[in-house]
Amino acid sequence: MSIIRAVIKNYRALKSADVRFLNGINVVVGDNEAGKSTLLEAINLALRGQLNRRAVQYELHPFLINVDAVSEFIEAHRQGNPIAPPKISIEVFLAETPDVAVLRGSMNSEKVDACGVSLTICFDEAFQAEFTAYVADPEALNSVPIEYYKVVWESFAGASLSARSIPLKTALIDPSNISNSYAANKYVLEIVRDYLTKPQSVALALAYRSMRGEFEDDARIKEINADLAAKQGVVSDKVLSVAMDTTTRASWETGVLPHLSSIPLTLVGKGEQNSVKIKLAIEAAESCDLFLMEEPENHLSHTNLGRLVSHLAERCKGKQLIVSTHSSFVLNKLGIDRVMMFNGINAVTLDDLPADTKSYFQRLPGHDTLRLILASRSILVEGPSDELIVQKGFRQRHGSLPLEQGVEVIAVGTSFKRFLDIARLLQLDVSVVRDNDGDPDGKKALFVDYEADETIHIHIDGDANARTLEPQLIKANGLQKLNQMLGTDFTNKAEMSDHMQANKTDTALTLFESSDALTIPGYISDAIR
Amino acid sequence: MTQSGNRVVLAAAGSGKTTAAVKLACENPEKRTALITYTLNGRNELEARAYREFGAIPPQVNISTWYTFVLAHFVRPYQNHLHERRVDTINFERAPASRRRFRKSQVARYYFSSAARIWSDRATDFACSLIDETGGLPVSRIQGIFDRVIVDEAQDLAGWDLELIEHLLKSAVEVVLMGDHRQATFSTNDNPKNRQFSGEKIIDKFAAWERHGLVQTAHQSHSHRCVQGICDFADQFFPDCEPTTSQNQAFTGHDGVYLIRQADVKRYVETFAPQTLQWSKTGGARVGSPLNFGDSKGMTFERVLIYPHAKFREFLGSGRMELGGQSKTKTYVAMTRARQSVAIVVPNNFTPKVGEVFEFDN
Repeated sequence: MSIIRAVIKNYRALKSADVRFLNGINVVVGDNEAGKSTLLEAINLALRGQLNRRAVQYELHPFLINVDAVSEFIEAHRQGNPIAPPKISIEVFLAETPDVAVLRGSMNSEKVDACGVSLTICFDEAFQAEFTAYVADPEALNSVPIEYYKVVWESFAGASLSARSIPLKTALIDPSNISNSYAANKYVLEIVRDYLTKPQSVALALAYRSMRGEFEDDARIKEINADLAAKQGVVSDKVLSVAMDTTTRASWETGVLPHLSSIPLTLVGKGEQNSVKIKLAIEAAESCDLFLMEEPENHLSHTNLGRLVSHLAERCKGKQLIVSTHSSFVLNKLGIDRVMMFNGINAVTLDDLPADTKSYFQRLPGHDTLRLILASRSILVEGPSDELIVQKGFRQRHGSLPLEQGVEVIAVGTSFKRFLDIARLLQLDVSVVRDNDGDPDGKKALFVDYEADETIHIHIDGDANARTLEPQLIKANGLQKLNQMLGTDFTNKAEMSDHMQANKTDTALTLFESSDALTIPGYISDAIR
Repeated sequence: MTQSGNRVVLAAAGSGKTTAAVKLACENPEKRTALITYTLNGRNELEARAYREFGAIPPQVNISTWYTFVLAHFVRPYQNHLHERRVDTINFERAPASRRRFRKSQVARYYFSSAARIWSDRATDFACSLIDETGGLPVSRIQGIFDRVIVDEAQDLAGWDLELIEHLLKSAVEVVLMGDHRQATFSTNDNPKNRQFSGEKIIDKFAAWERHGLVQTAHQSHSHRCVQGICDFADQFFPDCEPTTSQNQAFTGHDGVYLIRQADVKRYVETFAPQTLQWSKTGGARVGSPLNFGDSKGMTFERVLIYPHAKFREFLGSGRMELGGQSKTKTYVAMTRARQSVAIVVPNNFTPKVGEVFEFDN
């Protein structure tokens, strides 16, 4: 059993998202604000009806609804063109198998015949009168009336759902969200409880209960209670005594603390805690079909992360794993072909890429692509010397290095088109800076496919005599200026050019570090903007 | 043709039909089975039998009422092809005349009493419209969920129910219809569709399906419950049916069907302690805690005492069977409730053509 698609409307950061998933491993990457965690949370919500490990009915708050949708609602009422209160809708489509056939139907937003579940958080018409009063004064409106909202959880067959009625079992593993030690304990204990077999948990509960009994039978406690009994009439007419809490809420979970090598879990290092939580959760969730995991890299050293990710890949075989990460290491280890580049609206997998580009990146270390995807803008250059000149030019223009402004400068060799294929799918803002190699028209023609892409900008200089970066720099700055900056005394441009090209990176570094201003060739300057 | 095993099982009263249905559903863990009956009482009875016989309702078995089944699998899953608002419930009231003039194309007003409530006698009509509208999606869906559908009390199916059953008969799902047209006492459905097959005449529909190769008919013509005397007497109501063979060999010294003079009723009740059954509350004082004929369906008593209605009494006097419709089927039900004896109350001066008047020995 696996999920194949999630369609999300108005849930927190996700105004409207439509994401498709692969069988097996999916690695969700995206910007900090893209809503990766929200995506995982939404899927878990629709499949389990839970938020923060509690039934969603008890966890409703106004900020669950997308802020833009809320503003539209408020604005519409203020403008005198009122609209219905916004609603959250999460639809999860499942791959059709006999186990989930009962979830099949067309009761989804697209009216398509599919297996799936939908969770809607919407205004409850039972509160029409209250709502009328609520919107009576549009100027005072500042939120949605979440207290008049209800949760509707149904299959695509229109049947009301309970956690038991969804055959696909999901585990959300989000250790990073657990801030205080009490919650961490509770989390681990829940996992331990899930892990124990039925007889084991009965034995544990019995042992705990009889331990409480022994407490009361202890001679010292009996003595104390006898003493307290003598106080009858002082604090109450009834007999006062002490005993272990035997109410139902005092189950073993509240009195037992998990230990690692005899050290209470809460006192073990954060990284180890995290790793234990993830591994325990996976063991406990043996019967799960889908794991949703947030940023397993948190608090872990490189080696430990390596071990954890190998463990993950091993234990989740045959199941579906959706993991969000900021770590290129996690991505590389789990397989770059499983990457899902999520931008808050849709997700592009490398499956959508041209086949040759896909296999190219499967062989390539992943981090270059992640940089491209996560940057607000990228400038693609050929090599380190181009990169240094772009960096210098950028700092001269904007007063700070590109990275500080979210602009990545990435040296891609001659693989421009591979990166542009990704950029095109994600509509990333990308500028290409490339030598004309003495054939401006021929080089420009290489990029003719991308002319229609508004976010892709190609910068190749038209002067066939200035074939590469170095002649271009000489042309822009003159021999004297460069001699001065480089500490050389070449008497003609050809010699200077040969020198610079023979020592590409060194000369570029010297120019970059020089406090003197460098005139940036036009085609590079255009790319810097 | 009926390679899928579709069948109609015509079961005489007391033949253990309900138990057979439960066993059929529960015994094979490989076959995902929907076990369906018409009424809530019937469903409770099926559940109780499953617990009694198997200790639990096995996971492959889903027991529900007909309407729950229709709503869950034939109305809601694709309803938005005809009606957006989720259908929450069935409206079991009779649609008022003012609501009956709408055309089918006026979907919301034709089928629904309010946006979320569908008229009970139009629910299966709506289901069949959805099947047409979606090119059969609900049928293809149910094939993925159940291997077999067993309908207990199948004689209660009426109107568009029969069309929906026909869709199932033509699907890959195995359909087993268990029932007894002689006990067709239940009528919630006044949809004009298939009126010619209402009540006991549903047997004609079963026969038509058999002619078209959609089902095979099997008979369970034995009764575990009633002694032979009771079987023979009740069989007079349906002379065209196979005679019922009793498998009740118990002998109490007072077994079979008797007519009891009004004057002897008190003493008879003191002697034999029968359960009183009546056609309806009207018609004078009754002894004991009487049950109406229709309500006694599915029940078993050691002995019963029946207060007949006028037509029944006339039959006893003339020997001419002029009962029809529910007065016939409900009387058949009442007659077949007892294991050992049925006593029918007659006037003191009654001269019977059918049956013998019981005389106390002293």
